[in-house]
Amino acid sequence: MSNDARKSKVDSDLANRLDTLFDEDDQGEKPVVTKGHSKDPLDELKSLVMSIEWEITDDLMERFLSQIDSLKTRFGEDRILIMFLQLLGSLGLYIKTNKGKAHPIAFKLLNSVYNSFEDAASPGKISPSEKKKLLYIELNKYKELKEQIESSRGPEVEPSRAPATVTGRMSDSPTGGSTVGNSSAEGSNVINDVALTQRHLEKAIGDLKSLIIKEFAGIREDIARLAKAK
Amino acid sequence: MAFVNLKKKEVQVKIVYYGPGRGGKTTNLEYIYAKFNERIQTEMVTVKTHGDRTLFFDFLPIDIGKINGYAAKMQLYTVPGQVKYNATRRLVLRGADGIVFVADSMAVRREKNILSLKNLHENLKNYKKSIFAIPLVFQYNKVDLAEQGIPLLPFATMEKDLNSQLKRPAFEASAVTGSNVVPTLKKIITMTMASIKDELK
Repeated sequence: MSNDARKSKVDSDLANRLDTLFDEDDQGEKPVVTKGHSKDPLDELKSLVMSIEWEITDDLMERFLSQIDSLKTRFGEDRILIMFLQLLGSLGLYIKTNKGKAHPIAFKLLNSVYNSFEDAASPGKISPSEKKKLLYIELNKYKELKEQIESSRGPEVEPSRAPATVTGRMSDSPTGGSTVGNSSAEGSNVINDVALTQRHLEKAIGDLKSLIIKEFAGIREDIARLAKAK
Repeated sequence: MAFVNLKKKEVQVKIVYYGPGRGGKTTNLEYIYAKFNERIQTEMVTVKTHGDRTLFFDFLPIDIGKINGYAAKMQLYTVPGQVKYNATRRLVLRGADGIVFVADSMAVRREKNILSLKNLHENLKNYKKSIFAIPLVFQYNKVDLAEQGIPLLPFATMEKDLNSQLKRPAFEASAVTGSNVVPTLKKIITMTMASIKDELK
């Protein structure tokens, strides 16, 4: 086919497709579904996570942390979701303290943790074991981020630049006694939090490990039982 | 630059709706989504501020189907029109293959239209693209407001202000009622596809 013939075929293909697709005669109007400003705290949190990608302000970070708090009340019974929220809260506090100087991976991780949290919080979307698996994956990423930050800053750098650790304590009190613009108070809170909550993270990971070990043991028992029955 | 995947036989084209704040860019996409949702079978994503303004962008992917053996996918974006969000606008503009400039026909918005077009020119230059070279369609929106007695700029004035040098296709439109929304879209898709046609061998 010559170039001209091919071009005219592309033009006519396109014109036909557009006419078929956008024929306005037989379409009934439908309400527009947009993800706008919503009363749903999950939507609000998503909007805040997206906002952090563009701009980090104290006001935005305060709203983010306060939203985490309100979701903790909502999901108070679900330990996995609470841990997801603690992860988000800790990352939020780290970004709030370091703003533009925060490690770039912290922003990617914030998105990734939010997406996993959204999946875990959607009723029936994933099984409880998948929820645990997602949490475990995000916790590992978080741990890797902490290690990267610690190894890159060296022993002389102030500890306030380290991300906070996943615990209930920090997110239970999002303002943490610090005020906007009072960076030294904020920094010292983060130092305290890092020191105080290291054990909690280790405990949380330990809990998860023992949970997985228990589940594997249960599966092994089931397999042995089934083998005997045969 | 359109993304052409020769192996998968797929082409992705980015079209950006640009223009002053409150001009009707989001309304264009909302009309297309509401009207053709069943056919395009994708979801429109809109993130708005508390005041119902576009803070980041709206995004509407449309699968056109096979063109010359290639699966053609259009990605429609809007930018936030408010002056203070230029960094976001610039980001959304990155990699744009075609632009619909949605101008506001209200007489009081005349200066805002001109400033926004200048801003588009500057932001394109930032990506080493020329407003004279990129596929561009003008839409003079809100013509329905004439019925309410609101003073509008005549078509000739809009053309003189915005299109006297560029001489691109221009449509008077009402995104709220849907008038000329689809012809605008068809025109920009056709122009953009024509500009990348040589890559679809």
